[in-house]
Amino acid sequence: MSQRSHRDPVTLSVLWNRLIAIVDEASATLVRTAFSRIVTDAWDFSCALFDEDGAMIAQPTRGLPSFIGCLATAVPHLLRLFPPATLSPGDGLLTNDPWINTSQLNDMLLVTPVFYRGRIVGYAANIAHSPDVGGRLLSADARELFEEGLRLPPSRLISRGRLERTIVDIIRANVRVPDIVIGDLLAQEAANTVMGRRLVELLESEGLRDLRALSREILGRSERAMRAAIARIPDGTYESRVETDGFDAPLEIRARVTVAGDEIAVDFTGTSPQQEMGINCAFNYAYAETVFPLISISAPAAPVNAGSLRPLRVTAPEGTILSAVHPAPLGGRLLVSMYVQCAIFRALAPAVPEGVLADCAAPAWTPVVQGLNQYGRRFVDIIFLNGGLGARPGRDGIHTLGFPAPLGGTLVEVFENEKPMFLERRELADDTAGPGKYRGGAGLHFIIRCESAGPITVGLRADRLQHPPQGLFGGGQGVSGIVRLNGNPQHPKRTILLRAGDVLAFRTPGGGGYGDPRQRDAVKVREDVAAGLVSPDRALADYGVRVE
Amino acid sequence: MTHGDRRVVGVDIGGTFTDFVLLAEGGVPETGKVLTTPRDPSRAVLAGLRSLLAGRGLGLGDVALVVHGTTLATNAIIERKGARTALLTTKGFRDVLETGSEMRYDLYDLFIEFPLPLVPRPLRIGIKERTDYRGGVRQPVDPAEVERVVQTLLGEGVESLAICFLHSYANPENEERAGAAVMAVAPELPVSLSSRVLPEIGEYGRVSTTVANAYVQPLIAGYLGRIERDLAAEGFRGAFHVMTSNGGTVPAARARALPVRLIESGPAAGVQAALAWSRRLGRPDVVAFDMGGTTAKMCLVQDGRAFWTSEFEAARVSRFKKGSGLPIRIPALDLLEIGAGGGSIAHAGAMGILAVGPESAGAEPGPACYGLGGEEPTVTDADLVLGLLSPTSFLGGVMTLDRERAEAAIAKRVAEPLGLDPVEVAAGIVRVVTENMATAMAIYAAEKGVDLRRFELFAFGGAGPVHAPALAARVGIGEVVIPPSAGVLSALGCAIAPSSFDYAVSHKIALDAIDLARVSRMLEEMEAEGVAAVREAGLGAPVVHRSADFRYLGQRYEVNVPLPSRALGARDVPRLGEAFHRTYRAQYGRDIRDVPVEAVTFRVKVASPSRGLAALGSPPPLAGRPALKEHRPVWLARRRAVRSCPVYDRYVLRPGTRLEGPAIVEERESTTVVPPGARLRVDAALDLVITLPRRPGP
Repeated sequence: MSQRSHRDPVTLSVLWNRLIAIVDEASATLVRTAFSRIVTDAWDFSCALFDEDGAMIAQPTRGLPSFIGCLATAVPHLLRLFPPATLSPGDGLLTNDPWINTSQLNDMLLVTPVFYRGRIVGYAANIAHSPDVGGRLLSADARELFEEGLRLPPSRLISRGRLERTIVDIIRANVRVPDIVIGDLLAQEAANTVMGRRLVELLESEGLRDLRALSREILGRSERAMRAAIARIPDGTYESRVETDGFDAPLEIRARVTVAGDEIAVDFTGTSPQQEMGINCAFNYAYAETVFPLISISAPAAPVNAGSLRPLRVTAPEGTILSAVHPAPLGGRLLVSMYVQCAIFRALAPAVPEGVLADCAAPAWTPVVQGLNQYGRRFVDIIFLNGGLGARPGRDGIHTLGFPAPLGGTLVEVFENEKPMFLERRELADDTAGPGKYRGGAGLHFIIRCESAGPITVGLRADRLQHPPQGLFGGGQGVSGIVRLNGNPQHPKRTILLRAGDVLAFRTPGGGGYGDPRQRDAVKVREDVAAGLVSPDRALADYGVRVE
Repeated sequence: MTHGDRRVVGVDIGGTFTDFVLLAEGGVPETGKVLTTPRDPSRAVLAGLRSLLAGRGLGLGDVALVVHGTTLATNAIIERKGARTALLTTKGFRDVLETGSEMRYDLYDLFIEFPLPLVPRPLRIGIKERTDYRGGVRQPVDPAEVERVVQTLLGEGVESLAICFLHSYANPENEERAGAAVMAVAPELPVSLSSRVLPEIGEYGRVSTTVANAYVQPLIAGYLGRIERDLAAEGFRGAFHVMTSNGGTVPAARARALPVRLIESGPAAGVQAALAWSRRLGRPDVVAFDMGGTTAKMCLVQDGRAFWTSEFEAARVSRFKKGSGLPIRIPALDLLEIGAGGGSIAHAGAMGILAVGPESAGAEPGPACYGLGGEEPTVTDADLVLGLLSPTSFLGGVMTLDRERAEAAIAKRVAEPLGLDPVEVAAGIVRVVTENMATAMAIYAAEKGVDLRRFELFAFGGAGPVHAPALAARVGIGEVVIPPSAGVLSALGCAIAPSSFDYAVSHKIALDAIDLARVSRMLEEMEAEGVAAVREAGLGAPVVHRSADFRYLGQRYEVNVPLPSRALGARDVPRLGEAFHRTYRAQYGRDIRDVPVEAVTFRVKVASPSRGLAALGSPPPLAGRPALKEHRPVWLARRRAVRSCPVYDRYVLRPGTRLEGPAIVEERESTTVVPPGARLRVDAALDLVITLPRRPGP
């Protein structure tokens, strides 16, 4: 096929869709072959496809925006350390280095070169959250990175299709659940293998030698679509300040968003300094969390890839919680990074009131649990707890929904089958949704009773106990969260022990409201009262609607 | 069995037409078509049956079996026309239905919505009861509490009730006690127990499926009862069966108890016809390809068996996005459905890219060329502009197509914005829709580890034969088969489908710790129930297929492996392990032998023998009119040019006829396009068999 034909809209649309479909097939493969619930149920992973220069040309339909954003920077970074000449077919490059990858040791990046007719035409890559990397157990209360487990510098996990026994043995010797950790790495390999195989089939069937011209065209179009979308946002400098609970004292994120023509620059100067506890984020992850809301607000009319990111610039001063430096502890980085989208939406709300949502319950709560299960085997897992989505212009927020990361919740029956814990309650929490013309989504009650003879360690990772999600344009705030052990309030970022009979209760926050609650349709208020989501008292106090 | 005493009628209700096929062994299938009566579909069924039989001097008393395919259950859920349904569930867990997976199905869209739950929150009632994961009852149900709750629900006009308690797949005791308590106070209220509807682990899938069952139950029961009464009133003494989502039929009585299995049964009938053809032609590997007005559906048949799945989604809010619908966990044919049909709309995307579908112009206003007010250019418009369709022989000439309107729509909406020539754009539309289908099909095949190059494409539906050869070429399929009467193929599928029953039971156990006696007993019980049901249907001796889902200990998803049809012995354990490793490696590239293997679900499928079409004749070709109708200019994609092509009348082509492409073959409901370089032959059963030129190697 000639280079010209990539500009033929028909061929282009066909090939473009195929590239995205290849990544989706890899995601399905990873889920079906993985061992940890973190991957199989919560979908805490993402795959993507890269061209020979390391530019991300296709990302999945379903994945984590933050991982995708990190892949976009991590893969080129890794390839600078492993130039094409050093790579062979069947190699698999592995790292969990927080400053290359996702700012957390548990996330494993695996990159596989794709060879066609003897040369590299692209790379398949994915990041998956491993249940364990050793250390003190993933938590927010480590003091230094060294406590948080094994740091794997970029290395060859697979050489020409053969697993490097030494690396596998090092990992196995360091982690609590070696079969699951290695099983998940093999699932990551299977996903990359699928992408490589399909990419080669695409080149063969289209008679292409490489992806160069196609990639140039795709990235160019996505970039132009993104620029056209940004150009619709009024120029200006927009600022916001978001306060988080912090470990013991509140932290702040300051965002300064400058929209100029078809580009956006975000600067986080003024954001709190790096902390002594593990609620810090390395810059590459902060970058990914920043570009996600910018893309959502812009809503470009073309698939997202490295081209879409070109008009976006993000800066954060080193030594802050959004650009922490070695050896900062990072285990609770979500409790900072997931506030970034909130800062961006709040900043741009005056510019694009129809394109933003009120504060969501994010950060997601992700307590890490480990111990011996009822079968005498060791387990390490994460309980993913989502809260309410913020209200949207014209639409209520959705109850208990993964945002910004679309992380899946916990199935009670699967949980009880695998862990020595009994669930007493898992249902929507009434009077948690922020009132508004459009109301926020409700949070969730999640109550566990420990039935294990031995202790279960829980690395609590929760936030917004003091800082409820705010409303927009007159909408009220959602209700903040609660973490209690046997009825007593608990520090939400400490590692605790559960013993038989202990009851650990979570209530996640509700999303903020959008618009004046007094303008809400009274019929909808009554529906929420009938559903038990809003009490008659709150209906009267917040909405001025009397319900008998 | 003599010629007359096993007459079977298949009835398929479509959006526009209700189709009929009458089969008598050894005879030619006879067909009928009447307009569907949407308000009461049973009227068309009765009227059509009467006229079909009367024309042959027969009455309903002469028919042994009526098999019916209906989209009523699917539509009730999509259109929210089911019963007012309540849910009794474990106290503390009443929002499982609403919180779902908690996952967004679109990464960047801040405005996504999910389908409303079929049971609103006020009608989801928590009951004090609890069973643990081993099946131990921690807290028994208090019948008095259930009775009180049911009284209240009846007062609120509830018409159907679902009961789904945690871990009821491990022990149904509490659900059964609650069900009995309901019976005591409301014997007329239909009750669906999750332990009967879907005794499998995973509360979200189970509650969603049970609620769907309860939601459609009164409607389906009423509808089937009405038809049964009407049939009986006309002297029908045979069996009345309904097509289910797994492609088998069940007696109406069972369909009334488990109506959720009728959801998505519509396309299953067409696949049954494809299966029969695959057997008759001795081609075990085919792709059934049905392209209609709105969507294209594909189903893989490998080694003579269709792929099936135990989970799909109904009523997606965002039509083709996974995760935007209600999960229904029933054994269903694993179909691929994509938004590519004759009515799919073409548009110039914002980035100067030609896009087709998934939006469809439907039947109203329809494609621009229908002249019914449609202004958006569709695939059918492109087909017409390219000469693939004739303006005058569409639907046998009943409907005239307007080529100028088609071309104007393409020019205005796509060609001008993209700065291209309308004919080139029409060719582009056809290519894009073909590529959309090919891409989806390639992923679908890849997910199943299937190499499409070994397959044949079996094409039907109005638009199927037009696009099938190009699709086949694109995915590397060498041969396309277009059966006669492609327009009533679903009704034919109903008439020849086997009666079949699927059973499954969750029993999680390490393979090396398996209790062989217990598992054998479980399988026996399921088999006995199925065998009795198939015997009752009277369609022949039951065929049993046992299997189990295995995985590596700790994984979440399984791989299905066949089991021997007898009691399991100690020697089967290593064999099954080996079979699992092998299947896993074939699918995913590596096995993981140092991790133990775990069994999760045991399954039994019992079916009547497949009825082939070998004995069936075909209508003889017509004599007395020429096979060659005309020559007309047709755009040939391969040559990128318009050439004059011969157009043939399918009803005149005799067995053994051979044609060289380019050529067009027209029939009432469809048009077959034979591309240049391809050869067409008409086989003994009047199938059109198109052999595509061998592709050059890479």
